[in-house]
Amino acid sequence: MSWRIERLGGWAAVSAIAFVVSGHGASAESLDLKIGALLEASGPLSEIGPPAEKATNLAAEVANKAAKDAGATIKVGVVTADAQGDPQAALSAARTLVDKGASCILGPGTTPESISVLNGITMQRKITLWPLASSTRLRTVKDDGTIYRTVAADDLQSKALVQAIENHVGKGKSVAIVFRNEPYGDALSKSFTTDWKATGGTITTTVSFDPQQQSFDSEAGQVVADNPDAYVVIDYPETYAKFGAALVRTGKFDAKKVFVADALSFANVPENIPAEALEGAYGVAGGSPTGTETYKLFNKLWDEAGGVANASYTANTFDAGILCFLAAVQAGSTEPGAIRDKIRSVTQDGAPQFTIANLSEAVKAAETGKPIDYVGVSGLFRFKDNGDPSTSLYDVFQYKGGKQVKVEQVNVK
Amino acid sequence: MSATPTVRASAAEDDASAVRSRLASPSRLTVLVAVMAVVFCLLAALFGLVPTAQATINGFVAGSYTGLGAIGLTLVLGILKLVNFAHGDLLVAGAYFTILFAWLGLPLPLAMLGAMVATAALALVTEKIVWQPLRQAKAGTLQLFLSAIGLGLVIRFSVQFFAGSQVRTLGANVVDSIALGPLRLGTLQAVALLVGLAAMLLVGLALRFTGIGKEMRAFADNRALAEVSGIDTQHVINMTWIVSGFLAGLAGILYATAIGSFNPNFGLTLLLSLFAATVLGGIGNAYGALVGGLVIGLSQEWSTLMFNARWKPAVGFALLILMLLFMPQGIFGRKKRGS
Amino acid sequence: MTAEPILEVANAVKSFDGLTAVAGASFTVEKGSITALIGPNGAGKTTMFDLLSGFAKPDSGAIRFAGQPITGKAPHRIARLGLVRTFQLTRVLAGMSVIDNMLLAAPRQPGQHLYSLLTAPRHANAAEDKARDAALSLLETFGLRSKAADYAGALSGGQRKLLEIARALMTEPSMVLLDEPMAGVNPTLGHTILDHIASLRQSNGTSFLFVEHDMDVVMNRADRIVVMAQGRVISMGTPEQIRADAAVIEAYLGGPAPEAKP
Repeated sequence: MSWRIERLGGWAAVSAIAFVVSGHGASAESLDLKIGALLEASGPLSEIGPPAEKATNLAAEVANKAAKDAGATIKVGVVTADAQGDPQAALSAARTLVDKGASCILGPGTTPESISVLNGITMQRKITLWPLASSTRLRTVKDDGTIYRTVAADDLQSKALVQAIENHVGKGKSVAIVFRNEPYGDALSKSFTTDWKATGGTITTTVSFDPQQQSFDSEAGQVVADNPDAYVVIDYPETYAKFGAALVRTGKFDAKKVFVADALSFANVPENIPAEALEGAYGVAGGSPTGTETYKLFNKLWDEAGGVANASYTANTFDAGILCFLAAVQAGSTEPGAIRDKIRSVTQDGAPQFTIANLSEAVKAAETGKPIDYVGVSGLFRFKDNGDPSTSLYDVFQYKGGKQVKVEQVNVK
Repeated sequence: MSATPTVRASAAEDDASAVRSRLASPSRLTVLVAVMAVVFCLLAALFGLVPTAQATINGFVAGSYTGLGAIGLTLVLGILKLVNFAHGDLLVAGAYFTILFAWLGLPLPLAMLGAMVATAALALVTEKIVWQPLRQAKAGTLQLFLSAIGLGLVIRFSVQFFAGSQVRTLGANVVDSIALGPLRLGTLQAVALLVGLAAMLLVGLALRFTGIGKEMRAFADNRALAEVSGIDTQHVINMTWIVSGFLAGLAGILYATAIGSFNPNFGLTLLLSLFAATVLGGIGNAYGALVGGLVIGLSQEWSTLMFNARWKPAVGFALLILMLLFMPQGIFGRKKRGS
Repeated sequence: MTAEPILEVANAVKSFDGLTAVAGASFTVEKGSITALIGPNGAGKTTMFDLLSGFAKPDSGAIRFAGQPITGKAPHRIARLGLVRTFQLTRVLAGMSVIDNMLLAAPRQPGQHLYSLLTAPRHANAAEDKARDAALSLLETFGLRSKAADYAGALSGGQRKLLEIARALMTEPSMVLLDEPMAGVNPTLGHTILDHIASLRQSNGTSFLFVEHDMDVVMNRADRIVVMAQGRVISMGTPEQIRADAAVIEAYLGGPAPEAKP
């Protein structure tokens, strides 16, 4: 039996190549898919590097198992490189990944890096790029359909922050905003200001700072100056380690009034951030539908794998890896452009739905070339024309004893 | 004020300008202090005394980091005429030597002291393997300039290689603060401020009164003349590197401790401010480094009262350019003579 | 008249990028003499001074000072042996006071380190007082006593020249090399300088070798004259002998075009 299925898989792959990308030289007998992980292993976002790497590896593992169960000959491997939080470094890391044969790239973490990688290599090579960056700016860049995001853009995160503050502080209160002067913080703070004022709230001050400053005390003083009811902090761990310390030094700071955006979401507060700067603080980060079997299965797999604790956006990275895998199976090719063209037909509304619980079935269905609908750990994917998701589920969490505790989920649109 | 009447040589005009610049130097400082005082009063009137005073304290803290970091730079620039782009990375070396020695089991204060000595040794090593050979080969300005940038990269990436590029902390308590009425000053920042000021004062005094200090100044002024006076110039050069490295180590440690969180790139991000303080204060002058650092620190922090803090670096450097238009030699700088 | 030599130069050669500035020059300077070094522009006088004071290393040849070889020694070592020079273009440490300019040139002494100031202040102070007294008395001699506290940069051109010579003497040298001591100063001051030199030779037995272009000065002031042309010593002797030497007249009046000044 297994022999027969294998042959069928092989034939499906051959015909797919013949139709979709005639002349491509990949072996029909055995596809060797390389998923590139453009990790934030060092630099300002180095906290998210290790969980993202583990999520990518987990995706490859799950995909390989499903392929084996389905009798498909595709093999998934992971290649990694460090984006360092820097556009230039990210581009050179992306080139390394491409040299190592990556057919799609998960990451990087920031918008400037994503744009640099997009313009520098991936758009030209038709390689799908799956940034964790959530800036709305990525919606409007010319990308030739190569950018897909499994994380929602910041106009939705802004609404999640509004809801979180309303739930825990109240409606119509005063808020001070502080952000690191980068596209992420700039765009999110603007969206938040608009959204918060629309619900009748006030903004006492908006403070932004350059990450390379040598002191943050004056800025911290301004944040706490008018004793606002809440502070919205849109920062990265590297700078919040300094800014948070400066906030505590003002003597007027109350960490329980803090609402952090997703870049400051981690399972455990890093040790370089003073505990007083985040203890009791709230935050939002893209969430996954927690009640589902898929979510439980993912958590179980995560724990069994050992290593770093689960964190925000691991499910999104994981799903991106699975989508890339399914698209390659459906295309019967590891050619980047062929994968790109199949992303929408593995997330098609109305097609048979599959999850990681029955991924081998999904592989069999995808091999036939017919559309399927992969329902991810982070939810259903309905990519808009610009590659953004329509998912809008956010976790509201709180730091207690240095650990992240989920408080509730909010649904925004 | 005219030149000595017995001489009608061509040097007369030159002499008069020398006299002027001598006289102008203390008054430049006085004018500067007066301007700062007026600005303070204006800001206090416009934005309230407490916020202005708090910004002033913050400015002193930021200025002391910059000033202390700049002393070693200004000494090397003034005495050896070398634009040491690797200086920021010597600060980084100081912070990471501390981590290394602490990891080897030394208590933190000892680790810090050891780190300063190690940074001084590193600076001396760079003299022996890079600068001395380059000087003997009569390398030009551009070659020295590029070598300094290259050396900085080598130091930075060596640190990254051995220590990794992730964010580090020296584990000091960065959240404690001292309340001065309604004003606040971080405890560690106060320590950094005091140690910084003390170190600058000590270096200034040592340059003025010790034998080696005078020899350094003589060397800076005219190398050939220093040599015919029997000054061992290589000894002066070695001492300059040792002092510069030691102070860079100290500055790196204080900055890393007080800011609380750093990675191997912090020297590079500080370097521009260090150069600004050096140039503004007057090249080669330890007090100049202090005053230059304080002017930059205060103007940046004061600017946060008026503008969003995101413009802080731009405001600081715009002011630097403006001040250099009025005093191109810097606050303590002396007009260069053609001798 | 065969006095003991203090400086002996034998076959010194120095070339820069293929251009020979000193081409096998040999001469001696007698102890306690005032010797003039003359020659047309480009004769190699300044290069010779650089070789003697250690600022340039001879390609070959030997230089002996007070009986010991100093060929290729570092400038500060030669200075410490008692052979000091001044420069054609006056150099002073403009950013320091006149007295500090002098004290820096004082013979190396213990007790100028910070630690000895702390541990043995009396001893250190005694040594410094001695140097200060010597400096003030030299400044007195050169009429600069009242300027002791002024910045050297504030002195007039003539005063600088005086300070430079006073500085050179501060090192307690047995021989001083003066590169055009009268250049850039008015004739009255120039003669004052030369008077000081003569009296110092008288009182301390200091030897002087000076470069000068004014032949009247050379003939009147020098005991002996060394004449260089095209990197070689072409004549050596008393003013009378030199005046009568045909080779010298040839070099000054009818010699080939002068080479570039190094």
